[in-house]
Amino acid sequence: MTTSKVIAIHEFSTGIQAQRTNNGSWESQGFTGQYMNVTLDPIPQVVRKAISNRLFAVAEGLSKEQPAIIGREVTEGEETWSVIAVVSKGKDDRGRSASMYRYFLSEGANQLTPILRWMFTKKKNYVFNPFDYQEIGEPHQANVDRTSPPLKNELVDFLTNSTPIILPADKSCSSLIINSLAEQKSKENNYPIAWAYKVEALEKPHSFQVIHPASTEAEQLLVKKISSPSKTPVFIENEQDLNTAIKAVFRKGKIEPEQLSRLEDGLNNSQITEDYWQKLFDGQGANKALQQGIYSAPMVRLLALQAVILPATLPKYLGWLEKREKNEEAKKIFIEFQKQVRQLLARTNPESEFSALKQKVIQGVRLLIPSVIKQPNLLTSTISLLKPQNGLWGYFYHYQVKKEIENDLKTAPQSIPGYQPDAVLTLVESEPLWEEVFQDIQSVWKRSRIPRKEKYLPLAEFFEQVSYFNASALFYHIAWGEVPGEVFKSCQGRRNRYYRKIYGIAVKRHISLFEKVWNELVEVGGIIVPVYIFAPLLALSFILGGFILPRSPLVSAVFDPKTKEETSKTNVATDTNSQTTKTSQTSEQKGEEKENTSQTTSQEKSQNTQAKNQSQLILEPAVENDFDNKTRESIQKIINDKKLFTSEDSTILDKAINKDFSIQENRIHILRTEVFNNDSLQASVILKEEKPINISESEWEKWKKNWVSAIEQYQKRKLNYNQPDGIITPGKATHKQIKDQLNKRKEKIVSDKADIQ
Amino acid sequence: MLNWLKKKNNPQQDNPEPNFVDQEATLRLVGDRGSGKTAYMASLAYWPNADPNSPVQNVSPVGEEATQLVSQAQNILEQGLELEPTDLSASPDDVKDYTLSITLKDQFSWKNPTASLKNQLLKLNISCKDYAGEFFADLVSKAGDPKLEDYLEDCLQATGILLLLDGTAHRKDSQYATGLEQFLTQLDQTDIGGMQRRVAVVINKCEQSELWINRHQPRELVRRRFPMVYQKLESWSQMGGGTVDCFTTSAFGMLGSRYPEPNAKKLKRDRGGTSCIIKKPRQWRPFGLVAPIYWLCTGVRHKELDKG
Repeated sequence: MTTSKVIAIHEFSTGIQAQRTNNGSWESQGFTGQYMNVTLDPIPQVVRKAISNRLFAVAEGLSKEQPAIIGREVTEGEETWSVIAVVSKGKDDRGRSASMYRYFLSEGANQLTPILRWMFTKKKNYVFNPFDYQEIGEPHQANVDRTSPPLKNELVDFLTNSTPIILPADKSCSSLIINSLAEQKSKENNYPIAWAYKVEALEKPHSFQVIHPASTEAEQLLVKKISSPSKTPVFIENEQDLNTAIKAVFRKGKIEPEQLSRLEDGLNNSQITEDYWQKLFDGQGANKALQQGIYSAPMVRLLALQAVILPATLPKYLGWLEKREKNEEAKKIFIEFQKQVRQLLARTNPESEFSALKQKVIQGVRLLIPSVIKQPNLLTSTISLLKPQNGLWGYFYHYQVKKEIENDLKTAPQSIPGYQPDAVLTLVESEPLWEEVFQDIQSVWKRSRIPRKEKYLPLAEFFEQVSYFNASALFYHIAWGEVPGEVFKSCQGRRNRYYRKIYGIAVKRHISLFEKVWNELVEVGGIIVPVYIFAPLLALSFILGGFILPRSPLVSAVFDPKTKEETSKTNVATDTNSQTTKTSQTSEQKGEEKENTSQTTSQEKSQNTQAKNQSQLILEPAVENDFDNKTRESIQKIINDKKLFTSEDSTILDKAINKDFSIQENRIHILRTEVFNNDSLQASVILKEEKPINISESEWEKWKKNWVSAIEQYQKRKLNYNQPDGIITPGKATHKQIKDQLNKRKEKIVSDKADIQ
Repeated sequence: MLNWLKKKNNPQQDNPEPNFVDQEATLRLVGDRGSGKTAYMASLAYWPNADPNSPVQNVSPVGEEATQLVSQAQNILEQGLELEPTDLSASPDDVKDYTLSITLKDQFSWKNPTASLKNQLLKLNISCKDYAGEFFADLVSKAGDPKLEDYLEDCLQATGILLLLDGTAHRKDSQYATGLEQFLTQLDQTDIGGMQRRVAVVINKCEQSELWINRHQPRELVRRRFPMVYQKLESWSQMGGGTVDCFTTSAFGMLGSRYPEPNAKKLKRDRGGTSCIIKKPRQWRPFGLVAPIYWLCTGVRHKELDKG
């Protein structure tokens, strides 16, 4: 069965200034840069793009006298055109031969067959001819069979080959058959129909479904070219747009919203894979610039753009930038690039504009931070990149990723103590490197003492330098088991002199040898230590240099005091997490106790005062641990002791004190009034092991502290301890003493209460 | 902890690279049709039969377009085929922009002996658009054409212009001078961040005997063969438009050293110049290609490169 319908076939040809020659032929006196013998104006944008993307281009110099035919369907949005290009050889007045293109096109898909049938049966002279004049608005009208010829079995077998299918040059077949083959393949892989017939070489062979080479040499050349690895799909319709945008960004150095829009569209196109993007960047020389160290301004921008679009390349890019000794110029270009992109991305209206690009930048930040663990040499450049808020990645670190980190660190230990494996963590969900970090550090939420993991030092230092002190303290704790004084001081959260609670973990401040010696003297208060003992100890502490935790000079050296001061000022103004200005390196070396008061801001003073008030409420983790494991058990044993509280007693007591309270609560009340003489002691902290939801964490801890203090007082008073520990260990002296006392006073209490009743 | 500190304090320990000094230029290669622009670029990118005594260590193509240019040189020139004329693209954005990285060997310098001792390599990173010859021809005949305006606009981004003249097309001197005037006027309308634009006038096809004998006097050669072009550029330079210098090159070079003859087969010779293809591809050694690039990048001439 044949179907036919009249279709309009347009055409246009390479524009030349043609001159007739004596032998009746013609020669070119040069290109005009405009198409000639045109039947439609303007030529559809989608077709123009495909041509400038070299999708119809045969490689120069290799085409022979026999014309090559290339067929494609090109689509953009809703618009599709079926285009045939006939490529033949012409001569110019300089004696050179040049490829001349004549294009035939019809709107819509599935028009390649009728165009070909019309060319061969009706038009016949379809090869480039400058003197075959055409009129705009007068396309050819074709009424031909539209059905594609069926494929023979031997050709069907080729469909199993991967694209581009290269048919053997000696296999005789027509362009119509090649078109049918490409149609079939296109149905399979959903990429557009694209084929080349009788070609010597092609500029973009990977963009075809089927290629029929003109000769066996051509076949060998094409097979060789195809065999070079390419993971990219055959052809993406807006590759040219992307290439134009990439070129404009890296070559001109002036970034326009229009280019970013094109890139945004590319990112939103699921057909454009990361491999495809990589191919586009490498096509501009990104891989060469990295390998060979080409630090020209365009290459610095090209790789920076690559780091935006392909976040995984960001660490490598920073490493590359640092590698060159005299890299100031390259860094300046990078900063300018960031500034321009940030201006377009930071405040978009609506906010959803450029969201794919923003996500890529955010992804880059999420990936870069944990990368410093395994690549500490990236630390300096990571700090330089993320510290300034006016940089591209820096902006998205401060306004997005920092919040994510804070949130995840707070969410992970949902039920303290203990890591919450089911908690939904943004970073962990989006970046596998963080998953590793969280898996690795979850032990700190499980146990208070863990083996040190020094590999986290770069991360600790990173957070310190970007003035995110709480995270810094956490990672110093994991890495060193303690936190440098400077960081400790700058952290937020409840603390006493030595401990601070951060993300559910009590971290300890580093104590210098000098301070330790000094503390010993204070501890024994009243006893005067002779100078000959004190002096050598003091000298020793100086020699050992144990004032502060050793700190790396690397990062500190990068930031000169001026910059540091300026940045600190900004941080004070903008960052609620860093209310302290950083003291200079010199003052840091003088020791954390000798604070440079002139550099302490008023915020810090008030913070310190608050902290001192709070310090009374902080429990050292070891003591808290003992309370949870020993004291609570001891008191529970006491109140549940059947010898101590007979049933008769308890009945009386229940009636005597308060019917609304449980037996245990009443018994604790007795302890409170009769043993410890302290009304502030809470029963629930003894009776419940887990903190009730309606009680704040600080309140819960305060209650424990009250018990510990009360026990300390009791131990001093009743057991004459010089150094009471505030702990009741089951079966030990304090436990026995309380039991004895209760036993002695029980009868009196019962009788007292009974009297009241 | 110490290990970590050591690692951190010495982050570049795995960096065995010699000390590179980078120079860069954004160039536009302009000249009449058939003046040899694409052959110049292809020959430069391919860098065949490198002379071990040449200061040029290597020329590396960067990106798809430059790589394709090299394979073009390989496929076409080595087989004795000719290069096709470059199509005049509708938009200058579509013009192929060749990026090359040229490494020069360390040259001992008495002026800066310490730098020489440090194994210092100079890298010339250039990107160069090879305009179709029609652009230059149209400067005269199609002034005011919107496409031409786009091209001129594109030229404004360049820090250097490589004006290639077929040394045997001297009869077109006045025509070139008129085109050049249009071009320079346009260039003067924008400055490039306080930098002075450089224009290298390069006499190409110096394998032709009448040019070869004068190859070491490039300025003299330009002045005598293209007096009007020379005059235009001189006055442009004196008016503070930019700096101008002259060079001689041959994309194909010569055969033999005692009685050298051009390694080129003449296809055509007329008022418009000489059309050639390479004679013996295996002995292909171009002459003087890097000297103008060096000057365009640095602003100083390189004595060794000037020698060829």
